[in-house]
Amino acid sequence: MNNKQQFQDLAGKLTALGESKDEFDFWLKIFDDLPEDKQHQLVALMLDELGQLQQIK
Amino acid sequence: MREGEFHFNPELMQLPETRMERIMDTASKERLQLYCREFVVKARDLNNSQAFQKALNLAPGIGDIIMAGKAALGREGGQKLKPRTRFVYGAAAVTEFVSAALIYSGQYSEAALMHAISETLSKSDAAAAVMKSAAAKIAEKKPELARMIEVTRDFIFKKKGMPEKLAEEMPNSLAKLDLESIPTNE
Repeated sequence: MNNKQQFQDLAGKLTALGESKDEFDFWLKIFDDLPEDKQHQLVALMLDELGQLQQIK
Repeated sequence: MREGEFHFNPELMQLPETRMERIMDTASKERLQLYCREFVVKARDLNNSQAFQKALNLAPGIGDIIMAGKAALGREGGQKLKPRTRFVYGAAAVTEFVSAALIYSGQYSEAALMHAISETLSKSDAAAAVMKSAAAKIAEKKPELARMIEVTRDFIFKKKGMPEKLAEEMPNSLAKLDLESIPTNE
């Protein structure tokens, strides 16, 4: 999966857990304009959040 | 108070109540920081004026203030606002602020620039017009930044009235820039 696919996958999972769809729609619209390292950072933050949320579910 | 700081009431910074919300709130803040840094970096080489550079340095703080205000109020337009939606308000505030700085920095001294931005932040119609103008102005120089501004402007339009509500409901000490601390060029 590339960065954008990963982002979309994680956004779907986080939204299902109650995260803001507004925010991820916002990110999706500007995702291609982010440099690759920032795309990585964003995906890593989301992955970390998902891990933490799944631990307490 | 140091230059560029804001009046701020820390008692109004409320943490979300559940563990899940705390995790989401922290993640949202981290993403907001990433957005603000990227936005300010992209904007930095657009205008070398001292006023513009100073305004850029304040931009991430503006986002924090709006977020803190929304957290403290916990609502918008009479409805409960989930803490994790604060990202969008913070991003909108930063984008709006930089757009106003871009438009006004060639026209005013630093103090007048801060006044102009402060005014813009409290009026959604003015903010939308300034953001449209800023996006058009930089579309050729920095198309990716123009798109970021347009995406944020779309959000402000959807949530029309948010800046006015914020200005009405937020205590003055939380929302206002410390204009007296900003030196003028005059």
